[in-house]
Amino acid sequence: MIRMVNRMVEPDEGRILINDTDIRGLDPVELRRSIGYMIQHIGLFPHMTVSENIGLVPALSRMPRDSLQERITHLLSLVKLPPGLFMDRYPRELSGGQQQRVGLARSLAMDPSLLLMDEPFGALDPVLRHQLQEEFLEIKAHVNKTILFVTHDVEEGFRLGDRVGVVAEGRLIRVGSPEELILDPGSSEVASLIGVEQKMRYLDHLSVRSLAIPVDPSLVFDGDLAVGEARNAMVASRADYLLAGHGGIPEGIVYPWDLLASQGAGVRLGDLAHKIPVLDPSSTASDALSLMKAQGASIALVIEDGGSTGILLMDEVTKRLL
Amino acid sequence: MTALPAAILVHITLAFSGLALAVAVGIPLAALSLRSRTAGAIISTLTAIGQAIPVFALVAFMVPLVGIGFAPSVLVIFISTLLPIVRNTYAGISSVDPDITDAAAGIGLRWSETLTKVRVPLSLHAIFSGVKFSSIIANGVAIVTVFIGSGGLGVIVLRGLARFYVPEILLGILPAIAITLLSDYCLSRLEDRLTPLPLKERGPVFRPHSFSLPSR
Repeated sequence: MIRMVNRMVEPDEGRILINDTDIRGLDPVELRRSIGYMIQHIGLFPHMTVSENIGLVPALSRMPRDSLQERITHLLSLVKLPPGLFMDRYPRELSGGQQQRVGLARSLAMDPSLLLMDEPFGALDPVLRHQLQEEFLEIKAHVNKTILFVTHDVEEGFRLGDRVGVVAEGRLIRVGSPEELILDPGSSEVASLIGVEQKMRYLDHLSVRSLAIPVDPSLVFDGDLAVGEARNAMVASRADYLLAGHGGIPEGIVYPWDLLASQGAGVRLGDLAHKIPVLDPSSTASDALSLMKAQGASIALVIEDGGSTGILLMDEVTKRLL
Repeated sequence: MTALPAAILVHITLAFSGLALAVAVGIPLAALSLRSRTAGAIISTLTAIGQAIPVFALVAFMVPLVGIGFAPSVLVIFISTLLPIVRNTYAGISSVDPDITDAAAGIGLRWSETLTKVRVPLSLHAIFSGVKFSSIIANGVAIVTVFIGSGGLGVIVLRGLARFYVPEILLGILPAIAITLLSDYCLSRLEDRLTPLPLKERGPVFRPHSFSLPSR
């Protein structure tokens, strides 16, 4: 499927548009030079040095020698291979991971805005694969390109992808962010691929934002409220807790037993409030849950840019993920 | 009596003109065979026929078609050396690792660029074994073409045969053998010079450090 994008395979039907241009109207060679291409069997040219491998297509496209040299040096630094050390080596002098990096540098040689990667890390051992994935994420953030990445490894897809598409029997059955797919697979194929029964595995890929629930405004009371009134309100709402705050923004939590234990007149709701953890909505669910565990809290506030956006209940999270 | 140095010169010119022509035509034919299956089948059949005709018969065929002399002799050598070059070149360029040619196409090399930058450099060994084999054939055929007036060492051999005088036969044949061996050696050296470093069997790449045990 990915090979149709650079016309290595022609589609039987349908159209492929890149920036609204039908690729069938483009010269295949020009098209491929404008798209980075990297495959599992990197396909480095064994008779050429690292810099010749990277510089071949730019040279064929008549890039001036000076800027070509500069480009090769830049690309090798980008993939963390010291240029002085690796430029004149031959592929067979490199380890598998180093060859992958050269392959990546070669696919970036023409500074394409689109990059096709067909299981580039498929043949590597798990440790090296993990390391290259990390570096890939760094490079991805750095180069700012659209990357079409094919993998059979769901975990890898969620780790590396901003948007993940699921293909089954040649059809694209679902596209969405990793969170959307995990929390709402939508079909049994996607559900079984992801392994919905084990959503807990994906705590690293879920953000606090996607698991938080909105604050129920009827449970937020002003901190100056007298305890007696608060007690009545809690009974009326049959809630497990009240949130005490100012101007509708909660600052602490008050449990029923706090209210019952407080007999003195003149005690305000705010005096009884317990501090609760405050979370950043973009942090991962696993970080959030460990923070809550460390503080012995079963509830946390999710605050974005000063305003409250919701609360995270450990019970709720458990319920949604199991 | 033909002077030996002159005869040697004619022999070399004759054999290597035919061989050069076969290389110049054979390698493009191999590329064409790779490009088109139909062309490949036709080329394969025609070159095989050229090779299958006994040299003597080929020499006889040529006379009514192109007459006699040096040029028809070069043509005979060309026909009898074409097949090994086409077959070996084709075997080489068609068996390059598909992952490599796929990557070449994928990063935007034209077919012709893949051929010249990737397929041919990676097939030099196969191509050269074809050329070396053909060079041996060319030297042999360049003796026989004396029958259609090529001149060269064949003249001396023929005269020796006519007189049943073995030393004269040897006078013609031994230089031809020497030239064959020398050209084979030169072609091997050329192949070595052209082969990229990492493809050489005993290249300096990855040579392990040698350790020597202290002598007692």
